[in-house]
Amino acid sequence: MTQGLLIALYLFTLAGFLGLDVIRKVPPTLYGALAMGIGTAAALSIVVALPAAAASSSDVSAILTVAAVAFASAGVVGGLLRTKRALRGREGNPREGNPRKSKREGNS
Amino acid sequence: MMASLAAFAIPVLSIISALFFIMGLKLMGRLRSAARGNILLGLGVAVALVGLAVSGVHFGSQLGTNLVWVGVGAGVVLGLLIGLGSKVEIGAGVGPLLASTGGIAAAAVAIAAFLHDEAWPWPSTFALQGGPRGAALGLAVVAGAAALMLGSFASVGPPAHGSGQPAAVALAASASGWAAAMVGLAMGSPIVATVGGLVATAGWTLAVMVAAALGRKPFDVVFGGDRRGGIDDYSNVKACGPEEAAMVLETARKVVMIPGYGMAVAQAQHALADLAKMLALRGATVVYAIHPSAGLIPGHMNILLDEAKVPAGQLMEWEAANVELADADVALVVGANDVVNPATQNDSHSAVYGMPLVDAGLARTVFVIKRSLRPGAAGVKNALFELPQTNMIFGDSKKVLQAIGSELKVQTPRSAAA
Repeated sequence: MTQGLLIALYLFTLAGFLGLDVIRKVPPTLYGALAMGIGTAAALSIVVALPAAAASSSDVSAILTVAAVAFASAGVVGGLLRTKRALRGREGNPREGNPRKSKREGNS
Repeated sequence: MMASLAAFAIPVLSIISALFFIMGLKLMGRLRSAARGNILLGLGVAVALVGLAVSGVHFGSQLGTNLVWVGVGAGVVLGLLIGLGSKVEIGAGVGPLLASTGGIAAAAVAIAAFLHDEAWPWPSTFALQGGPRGAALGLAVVAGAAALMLGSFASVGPPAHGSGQPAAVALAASASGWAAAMVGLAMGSPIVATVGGLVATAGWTLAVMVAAALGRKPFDVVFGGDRRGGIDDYSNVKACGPEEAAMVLETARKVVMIPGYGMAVAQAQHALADLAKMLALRGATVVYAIHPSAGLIPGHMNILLDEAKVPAGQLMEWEAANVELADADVALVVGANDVVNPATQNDSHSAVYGMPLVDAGLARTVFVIKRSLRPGAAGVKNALFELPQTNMIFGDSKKVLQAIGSELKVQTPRSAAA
């Protein structure tokens, strides 16, 4: 028991400090998309919701866990799509391309 | 043999998944790589689900299996509807509530877990027991409720129509992360505990950042609390630093410079011309919008820019410049105020009504370098500063332009860009 608690605290503390650092300088144009992206990551709770739904044995827990699975999968699918569209709406033109290529286009 | 293979595969897949999430969030912070970051987040979820599959979840009964499929089916349909429907911008609507779904789901699982025996739904070496488990589940429910509340505020509350909305969404995501982490800890799912913790603090960090750009505190943004004094006429003015401006300029294809009297005062024409040259070297098209009455005397801007050896071909009269602005990525306003005031066109009571307008607001992103929000010569408020795509950079024009230039050099060394 104490071992589980220690490992859990260890993981959570390390991950928490990493989260403080992983978001550093962000251009204001990306605030909205990044907020949605972080929300998508939180929907990873689907990983606990799925086995919970599979194991549910009573009516109440069945309803709760099915709702959990539905919410979390909506969060994953909708979050990814919304973030993608928010990015495209912000960018408007291909930013992913090779900078060298875009330079040539710009000069021609 | 199979058992040992699975026992080996699960931690490996969990680690890969966590790395995808960390890299994904990191890449999403840069314009150039944001789309790739989003794909990595998706892969992170996918890998975690594969890990769950090989762990051999017990679909104890036919009922359990059916429940899972019903839930997944309903969720995917709902996700597609919200994801593909309504408007593109995060905007008002149910979109922001998506950031709460992870937390709501975690809270629902936590409540269900209360109703069952210890170690439900599956035994894990890492699962908490007894008091700590109850505490973690309780915290998950509280955090899930907070996520729901914050997500609702982001959808319909005070932030829904302002620049503060990303702060509310980020706080909702942060609360969702707390809820997920707590359930992950209680149930003994290392990947959910790790990513939940990551999300909890990353969301908070982003919310603080967005609120700071608005000159406010995160919770004031969400609940419409009092704003800091000093800026009486303006609401929803965002500020940022030279670094953030450089990050946007770095990927811009077309940039319109809009100089004004402030550039003349700060003698910033050389710094501006230098920055324009750097952007051109990175493949951007750069033009200057010259307003007939910018500066002290007609032609003031032309004289100064000529002194900085800006090619005459890059200088454009205001009407031609407005055509360029319509598809410009960035409008960089340097010490101009009244000449970019939309009230010249749309407010017949304004002192500046009827003047020509360099319509900076047409550009996708607007940066305004200014010493403060003080009004210009005409003494009127400027609605451009409150547009959602506008970011103020407060400071001396020359120093700010030089800072943007040196940030550009750091972010994309010439060798990589040219």
